[in-house]
This record gives sequence, structure tokens and C-alpha cells, in this order.
Amino acid sequence: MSAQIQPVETETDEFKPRRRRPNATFIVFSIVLLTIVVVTILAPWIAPHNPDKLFANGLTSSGVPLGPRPEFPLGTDQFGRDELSRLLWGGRPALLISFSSSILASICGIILGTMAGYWGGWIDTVISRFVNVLMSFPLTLFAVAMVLIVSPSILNLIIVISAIYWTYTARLVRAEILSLREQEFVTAAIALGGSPRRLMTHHLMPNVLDTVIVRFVLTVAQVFLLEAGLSYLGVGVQPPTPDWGLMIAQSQNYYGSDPGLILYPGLAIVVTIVAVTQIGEGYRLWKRGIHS
Amino acid sequence: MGLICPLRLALLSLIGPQDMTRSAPLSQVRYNIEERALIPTASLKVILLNSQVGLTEKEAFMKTPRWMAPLMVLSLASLTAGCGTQTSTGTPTGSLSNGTLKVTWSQNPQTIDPRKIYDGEDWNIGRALYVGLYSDNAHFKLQPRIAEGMPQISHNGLVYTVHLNPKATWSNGKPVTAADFVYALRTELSPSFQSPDTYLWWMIKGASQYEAGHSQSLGIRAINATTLQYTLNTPYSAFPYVLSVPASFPVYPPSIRQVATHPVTDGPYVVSQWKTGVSMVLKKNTHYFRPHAYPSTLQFDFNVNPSVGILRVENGQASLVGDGIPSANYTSLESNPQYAKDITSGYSPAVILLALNETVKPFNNLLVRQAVQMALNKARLVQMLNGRAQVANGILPTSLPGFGKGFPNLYPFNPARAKKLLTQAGYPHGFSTTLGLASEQTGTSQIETLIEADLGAIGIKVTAKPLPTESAALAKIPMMTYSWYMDYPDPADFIGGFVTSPAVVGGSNPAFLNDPTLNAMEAAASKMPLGAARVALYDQIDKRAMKDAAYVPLYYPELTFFHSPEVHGFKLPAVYFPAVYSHLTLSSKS
Repeated sequence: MSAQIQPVETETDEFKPRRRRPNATFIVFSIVLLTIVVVTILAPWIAPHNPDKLFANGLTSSGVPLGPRPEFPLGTDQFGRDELSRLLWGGRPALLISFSSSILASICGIILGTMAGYWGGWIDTVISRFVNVLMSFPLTLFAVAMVLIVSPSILNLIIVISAIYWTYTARLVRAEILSLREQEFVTAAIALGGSPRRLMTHHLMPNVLDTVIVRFVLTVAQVFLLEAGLSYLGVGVQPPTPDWGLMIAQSQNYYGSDPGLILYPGLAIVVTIVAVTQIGEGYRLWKRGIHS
Repeated sequence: MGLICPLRLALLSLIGPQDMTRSAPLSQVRYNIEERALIPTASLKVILLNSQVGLTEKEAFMKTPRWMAPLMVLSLASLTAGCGTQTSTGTPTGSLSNGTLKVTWSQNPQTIDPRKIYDGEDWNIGRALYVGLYSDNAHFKLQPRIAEGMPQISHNGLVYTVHLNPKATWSNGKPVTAADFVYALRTELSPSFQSPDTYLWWMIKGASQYEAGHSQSLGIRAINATTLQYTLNTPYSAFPYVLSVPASFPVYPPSIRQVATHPVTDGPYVVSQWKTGVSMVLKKNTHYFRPHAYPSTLQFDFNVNPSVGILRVENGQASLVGDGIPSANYTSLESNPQYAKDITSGYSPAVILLALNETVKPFNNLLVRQAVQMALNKARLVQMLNGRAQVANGILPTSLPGFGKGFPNLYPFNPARAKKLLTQAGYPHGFSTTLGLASEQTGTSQIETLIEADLGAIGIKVTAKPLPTESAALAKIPMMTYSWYMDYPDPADFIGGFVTSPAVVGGSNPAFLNDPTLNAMEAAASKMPLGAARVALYDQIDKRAMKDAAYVPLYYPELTFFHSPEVHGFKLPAVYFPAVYSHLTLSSKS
């Protein structure tokens, strides 16, 4: 006599959860950000002029920047350079720095946060205290000081900003891991002989990924703002490299006579940051299944 | 002023003729850090600027153009936290009080001790507090002040005897004596005092030994209370001019401890209040021995962006922008008929240069230096400065009587030729180098932008950096912007001041130009009596210096100042720009 084990019917098609689709906020702002990223990446090909070129006809005879005209669609800056070309090129360093720093910060944050949360003990104490110390410094002041020590360059900015922002991810991940490690699937994995490394990489880290992604997006926005601020203060991207924050610093005294010189890069910064933050919010709602 | 120049006055060169906007980012740094809101958007900057003019946050908002409203909303929405209340640093709204001249500066004075006065603001304030033996008038003529007449010069040209006006008094009513001048110079040159002005006294007998602490003998003595005698180690026909610079002013020995804060002065004003980094108020010196009508109170507001200063003058909250008119504001002011009589402009002898360090590769190669000379489009630079400058072909400015006109342009703008010279020098693909800037913030000056673009066009990649403060590090900077504003109206001040001054670390010769023939020519010229032959020799010196190509003269700046209509008698002085305050009068505001 043979008995055939029938699979237990756990759910029917009727009760199968619907696949969650991205909400409108996420889609719209993703398109906005994607457009900005693509445009800045394609700047060398679509910018009408060399952004650093001083045009002989780029200023009036009395040295005043030109307004919009066919040759210079957004006019020229106070040095006779094409404003549109500088605007297109100006997003490249900011986006490069913000995304690179955020990726680096997220990777460091996941690793150290997981280690602190999983191992606990003195490892947790050391990492947590270090995080607390770093986070106790005023962010901008600390960044300015560090950049001045290592000298401003795009690479140094990425390193310095990553060195600051990993703490936020690490603290978040540690808290999640502390909760996850008490759950049954972790106990089961340990009982099955899973090594700590395997536990962390195959069971714990994947479970904090959603949190990390939301934090990553917020980090991108914050770093973008910090980078613009550092460049504005003269300790970020160095001239003649075009950069939105730097463009505002260079033209700030023209706010009355030629407001476009600060309006265009200012708008670019605002739109980018709003897009990034809204993508983060959209992603969070998407994962919760909320359609806004 | 002149001497100054390595670090401080180069500032002026970085920004335009007198556009100091970039040189004062510290206030902006402080501002943004305090606000924890690094939102560099147009709207917020307008609020910031308006609030600095003395308006409340609400008033600043109301003054913001309507078209900026959406942007402001967006900007504010992006603020995460820490968006604190704007702190107004301006003066209260209201009309100028009668008799008070309010001057805005983007910088802070370093000292008011005349023995250490070195920077532009210090000169300006020092001249309001003190008078010396002589003063230069607007036509470069020496005018006796405490001195009674011109000095008596010995036949060998080595001894200068000056008689003092017995009416000259200190602000406490005590007479100014020859001993006060002796005390001032002896302490100024003492090794422990470390005055930056000691170089001015190179011609005084025994000065070098005295400065080094090897001797107590110095070529100055008080024959009696009103007779002063200087002894030189070599004839120097421009010496009477040296007696007009602040470093030659007397100090009052009994209250020497207060000389840097609340000194006893012998000039038109005394210090009433000094809030370091904020403001300084000077009141009329009731014991000033040359009484006449001038503003009873001088108020200096420091750390004020020149564009903000312009707004303050327009709103009746300031009388004068000490930094001059920034490029951003110049055209709109100049084209406004309402302000036509409130703008004063003119040339004071000064030159803005690029110094190529001959001791650092590759600028130790003459061909490279010549290539740089030919690669820079100086006419474009003048255009960027709103035309407020003259293209410089030589080091000596055209506004210095007898110089400049007909000076040959040895290096006309020719990028193709410059590229060939670079190839001949062994740099067919160019090279990378560093440009030292006196400004704390890079990227905002016309000079820097032009140098980066024009040298980039011939393959020289330039990275601009703020100048280091240490002399040793400064000496390794391959090239740096440099400016020289006249100390006294004589070519020796320019040529001897930096071109042929010792090529040593810590000196005022940043190109480290060391041509023995040039040095000998300058030594000979400085001894010659004032006149045509001396002018001709200095002209030759200038040409020879240009052949060496270590200094790239870029332009001679035109000074433009904006003042309120209540200010009368404003005209550019020879050296103490923007104004000799005791030459001004104020009318009541209608």
C-alpha cells in the first residue's frame, strides 16, 4: 500500500497577493532624475560650446554678461562663457560625487553595521562609539575641515563625504540586525551550521536591503546638497571645472543685474534634490504597497 | 599699500580693480555654517544680502523680486533642518546722523599701530589717526604736515634735517617732539618688534645691523625737541617721500601699551570704539593742530560684502564703499544718472601682475616665461573688468609721472607663437602648474579665469590654490598673482620695492628675479637726483626687467568708488585711497 503525500494547499489564485507596482511619485521623479543624469552624461555631445571657453563676443564692450540669444541660449556668465554649456557640464561632478559617495557610504555602513549588530560585544561598542563620535561633529564644518586638510579634489571629496555618511547607514543597519538576529530563521540557520559570514551575507544583509536603499536615496540627496555647499564655499569642486554650487558662488554678486546666473544652477540643484528625495519616498511607499 | 602687496593687495587684483567680493568669503562661510542651511539658491542669497543691509527678515523677503517666489518655496522646501532665524548684521534703518561718515569694508584692519601698518585698510585708518612729517597730495607733491618746510639736505645727500611744527600736539594735548619720531623708528626696527615695514628703511644708516640686533646705532636722532635728523648710508633722492608713509609716523611713548587699541594720536581722529571684526568708530581729535571742517565721526563697518555696501549707500545707511565698486554692480550704477555725481574714478599708480618664479621649473626657462607673456589676452581681461583698467606693457604704471607712454609691447598677444616657444623650450605638450592666489576662494576672479583659459589654450594646465602663509611654502609656488600699489610716488618704490628687492625667501620679490645688472642699474638710479635723467634710467630698467619676463604686467587698475550724495570733496588721493577722510565734508540729508 502506498500513500501519496498531497501538497498542502496554502493559497489559491484568489488569495495570492497582487504584485506591487511602483507608484506615480516614484515613476515621475525617476524620469526627472533620469533625464538630468542622461543630460549631464551627454553634456560633451549636446552642450553647444566648450564650457571653459572665454568667447570674444561673450561680453558686451563694457564687460557685461550677455542675455539669452541663439548663440548662447541662456546667455553668458561674467567671464564670457556659455551659461548653458556650463549648466550641462556642471551637474557631472555633483552627480558623480553624490552617487559615488553614497554607494561607498552604503557599502561601509552595511558591513560595519551588520558586524556591530551581529557580533555585539566589544566590536559593537567600538563601532557604535566611533559612529557616535563622528555624528557628534557639525556635519558641514567637519566636511570643510577634512577637505581642507586633504585638499579639495573630486576624489578627495568622495572619500571625505563617504567617511562621514557611512555612519548614518551603519547605525540604521545595526538596529535592524539587532532585531533580525533574534528571529527564528536566524536561529534555524545557526542550527543548520551556517557560518557567521554566511549568516550575515545570505540571511541578514538581504533583509536590510530595503532600508538601506531608502537610506541610500536620502544620502544621495544630502550629499548632493553638501557637495553644492562645499563648492559654494570654495572647498569643493575647483575651477575651472563647472559645478552648480561653484557657479552660484562665482555669480552671486550678479543677483541683481543678471539673476539667471544664479537662478539656473540654483534651480538645477533644487529640482535634482527634490527628485531624489521623492524617489526615496516613492520607493518606501511602493514597498509598503501604498499607491499615492 | 605698495609694499604690502604680496598677499594682501594681490587681493585687489583677483577681483577686479577694487572688487573685493571674493576675498571675504569667511563671513559667508560663517553665515552658512550658522544657518546649517547650505542652500545656495538665488532666493536665499537675496534674503541674505538684503538682511545684511539691515532689513528684517520680513522686509528682506518683501524686497525680493516676485519672480523669485516659486524658487524660494522650492528652496525652503528642500531644507531639512536647522533653518534658523536670519541674523541681521547691518545697521538699523535710518538716515545718516549728521557729521558721521560711514564706510564699509570687506576686510578687517590688522593693526592701527603705525609702526606695523601694512595692509590697505590699515593705511587708510592709520592716515585718519596720525599725521607724519609729510603727505603726498593728489598731484604727487610732497606737502609738509608736522614738518615745517622741506628737509634740509646735506651736500653729500646723506643727512636730512627736518624742523617740526611746535604747534603739533598729541590727542592728550602734549606736544609732538622729535624724540617721538626717534622712539617710533627705533622700536619699529628693533628685532623683537617684527614690523613688516622695515624694508622701507633700507637706506637708513646702520638699519641692517640694528635690525639684526648687532648694533644700537641707527641713523636717526633728535637734535632738540623740534629738530629731527636722519642719516642715510647711501644717497636716496626719494627719501623725503618715505617720510610720508605711515611707517614713518610718530607714536606717543608714555602710552605705548595702548598704541594698538586706543592710541594717543596726532591726526584728525582718535579711536572711540573698536569691535574687532565688526566696526570701529573714530571721533574728532579736539587737539588736532590743523583744525578745519571735516566729519566729526568716522564709522567703519567691517566684513561687509562690497555689493552689500553698495545697497547700504543706496539705502542711505552708509556713506562710502571702501572696497570700490564690484564688477557686478558697476554697469548698473554707472548707467544710472541718479548716481553720476556719486561715482569717483581715476588711476592711482598701481600694477597688477603675474609673477613667474624663476627658481621653480619650468619657469626657470626664459622661453617658457616668454610663452606665458604672449599667451595672455590682456585686452580681454580689461574688457572683463568693465574697461576699468589699462593694458600693462611694462611694470611702471602710466599714471606715474613720466612713465608708460610709448613703452614698447615686447609680448603682443599671440597664442600660436606662445605655443611654438613652449615647444622650443621642450614642452610640446605643455605641462601642469599651480597658480597661487591671495584670495581664500578660487574661481571668482577675472585674472584667475583668464589665466586658466589662456594658458590652457597653449597646453598649460593651471590649478589655482590659495597662497600658503608660510614663507618657505610661498617660495615654491610656481606662479602667483601679485599687485603693487604705490607707497610713495617714485619709480624706486616699484622697482626697488619688488623687482630688484632681494630674491630671498620671505622677501617681496615673488618671481625671485635676480639680475645683477638690473640691480646695479636700480642702485644707480635711486641715487640720482629727481628729474628727467632718473626717469629715463628707470624706463630702461623697466625694459630690461620685461626682457627677463619674470613678471607679467597685466593691467593698471582704475579705481572707482561709490559714495552717498551727502559726501562732498571726494577725490582720489595719490596713495591713501579711497579717501583722506579729513578732506571730506558731509551735508545734512534732505
